[in-house]
Amino acid sequence: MKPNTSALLTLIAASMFGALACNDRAEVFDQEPVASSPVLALKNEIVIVDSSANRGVILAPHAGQDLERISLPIGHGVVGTATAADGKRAFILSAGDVPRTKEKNEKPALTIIENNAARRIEIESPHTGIAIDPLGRYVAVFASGQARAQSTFLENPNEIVLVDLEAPGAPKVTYRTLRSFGGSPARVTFSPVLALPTAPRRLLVVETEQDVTLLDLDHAGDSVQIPEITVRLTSGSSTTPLVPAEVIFDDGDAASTVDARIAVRLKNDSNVVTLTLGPSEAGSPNDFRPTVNLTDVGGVATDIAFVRTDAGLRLAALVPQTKSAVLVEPNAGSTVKVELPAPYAALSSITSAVPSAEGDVVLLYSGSNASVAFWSLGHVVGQPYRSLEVVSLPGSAVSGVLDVPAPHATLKVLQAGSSFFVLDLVARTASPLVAYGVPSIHIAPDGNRLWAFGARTSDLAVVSFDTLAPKSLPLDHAITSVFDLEREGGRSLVALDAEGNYTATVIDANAPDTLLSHTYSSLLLEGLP
Amino acid sequence: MSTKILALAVPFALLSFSSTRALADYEEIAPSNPYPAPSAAPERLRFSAGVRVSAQSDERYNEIVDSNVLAQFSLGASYTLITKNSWQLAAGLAWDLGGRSGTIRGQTSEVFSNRFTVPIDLRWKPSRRFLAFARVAPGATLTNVSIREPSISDDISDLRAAFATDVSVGVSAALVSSTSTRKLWTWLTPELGYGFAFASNLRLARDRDASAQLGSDQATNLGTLGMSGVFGRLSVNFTY
Repeated sequence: MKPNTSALLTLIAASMFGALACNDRAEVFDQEPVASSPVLALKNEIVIVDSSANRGVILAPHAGQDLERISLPIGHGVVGTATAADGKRAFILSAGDVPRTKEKNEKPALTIIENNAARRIEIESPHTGIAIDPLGRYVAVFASGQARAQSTFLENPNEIVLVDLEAPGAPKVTYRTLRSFGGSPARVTFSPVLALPTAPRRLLVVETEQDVTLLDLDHAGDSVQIPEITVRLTSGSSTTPLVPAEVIFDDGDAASTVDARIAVRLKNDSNVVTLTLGPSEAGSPNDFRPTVNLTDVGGVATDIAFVRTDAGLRLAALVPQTKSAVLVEPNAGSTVKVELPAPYAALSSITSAVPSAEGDVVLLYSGSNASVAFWSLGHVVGQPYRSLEVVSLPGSAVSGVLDVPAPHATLKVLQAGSSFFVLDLVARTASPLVAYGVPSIHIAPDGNRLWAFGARTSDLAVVSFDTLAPKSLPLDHAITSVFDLEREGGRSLVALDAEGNYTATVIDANAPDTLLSHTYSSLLLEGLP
Repeated sequence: MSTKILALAVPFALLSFSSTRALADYEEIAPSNPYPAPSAAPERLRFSAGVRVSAQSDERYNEIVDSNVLAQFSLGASYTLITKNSWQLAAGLAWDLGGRSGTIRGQTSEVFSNRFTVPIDLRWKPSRRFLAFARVAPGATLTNVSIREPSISDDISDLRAAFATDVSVGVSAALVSSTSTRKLWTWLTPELGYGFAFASNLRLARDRDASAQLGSDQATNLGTLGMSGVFGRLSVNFTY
């Protein structure tokens, strides 16, 4: 019996060890979700970029505070995200697996999430910058100056990867290397359709640390590439390169094809640059040519905008250094200086909300000043002092101005420390709302309400723009962000806590009541592979 | 991994040593043993206490606690119903209870399983100090899964019951007799088998009354979990 018993015990032990040897679980279960993961808001859903699990988690609210959860694969090594202006697509840029040693390892890719499905477009270069065409046709991927992909040993900083999402058949990927005069792309902007001399065109404007490059989007993918136009930014009086800070566009007179303009604000110079896009010279590969005009506005401008005044089109530049705004006549470069009651640093056009036959109306504000000013540009010639109307906001500097969509487009929300104001652009009154702590504000895309919450607290409130009466809706978990989303038959609020494996509470946005809310915990534990 | 192997290797090593020693002692000392051998009369009652270690085959278990090993305490009692020659048929009750803690995506997690079974043993007892058995043990599992969720400062959990059956074989070797009456005997029993349990849907939620909820807590769907797998059990039995 003794040998048999030993053999049996040995067999038992061997069997157990064999069974216990296979206990490696998928790596994702060892990866803690990243608390600062991007959350992309679309019209009717949000996408949590669960980069440690290489997936996007879609949360889509439905009637009855139900929350549909869908997990979609995304590329490995997320380096950038963006959403389309119309809220229908989310874009996730990934660097791929590094080093790529096996066929199954991923290449850099752009993942597009749309209609609860993901499609992946492989690209050759792992860049970190992403810019989305506001009209939804193009995506530009480039080497963002601030954060290069650490995964790559060698990168071409002047390469722009242009994805045409509306190309016949499948999205078309075009690789363009811009001629470099020493700079590399820092920001990429898509122009609206501009009436250029030969045809309406759209341009890609690339800002580097010292120049601005114009790329004709309609010909960017041609087999014989038309070279881009680079405008080097120098003042002429100094060798110091001028650093662009912002570009804006104006199509000019609707009847003219030679007055489309691009204005460039400079970060380190008192000039503003105007590029007028006129006809090109014979033999030029491009069918337009920019005429450069530098205008000194007396100080470094902090914001610019093309405006319609009683004297015609002007480029308005705010110069808080001299407590003034300067109106630049774009053809001649002549200027009109308007003294301001405060050093306003930012402007926001409100003409679409309060139309004026005489000229545009803009709102002036500043993060260091407890007032806003209405600047009516129909009165600037001859009587500039009459063009300004100040609304004081006692004790609060305005840190941000939020637009309110229709049907309450005549309102704006001014963020000012622990207070915020609902500014009536017609009555020119500012109704204060005071919070305990600094509230974060979210304007409902349907324009009917705003949501205020204390970051990392459970305090939540809704304010209807009809009554301005706040309703408190405290939750039983902290809030890091809120999203007012469209659903069938109404709208829902999703209040998200990005700690741990994420928790979300869903509330009927049209009839908010926490007693009818649903709370979903550990969202990032669901749907794992 | 090495810790887990060690945790299993030690009891099996002890088992091998003590079993073989027990048999060896018997063979060596039997001729001069002043005490009589265990009664040839069939045992009636058998009580057991031991440790059951199983390798869970459901990957979900591994995903939740980062291991496929489940260690449980085992308690049981059986009664011999039929005896014929060297063969016995016995039935009883058994309870295995134990759990494992781990982490899932950075948060602490735990699976605790109770297994209630009705073991039916077919025993072959060729000698007074040794028996081998085959066992079928139908029953049920009652398994609690809990995971810490920092965003709500609370655990989410779910308690699920499922039909279960163990199938195993084992041997039992007499160690010592404890009384001069020779009626109470101690046995060491190693056992190897497979435990099967139907998989249940895991829907974890905060464990709080509806009156304490703000609105309503919705469950987190973690898929299915079945507490199945190869197991070994080492127990000390007392027969009377």
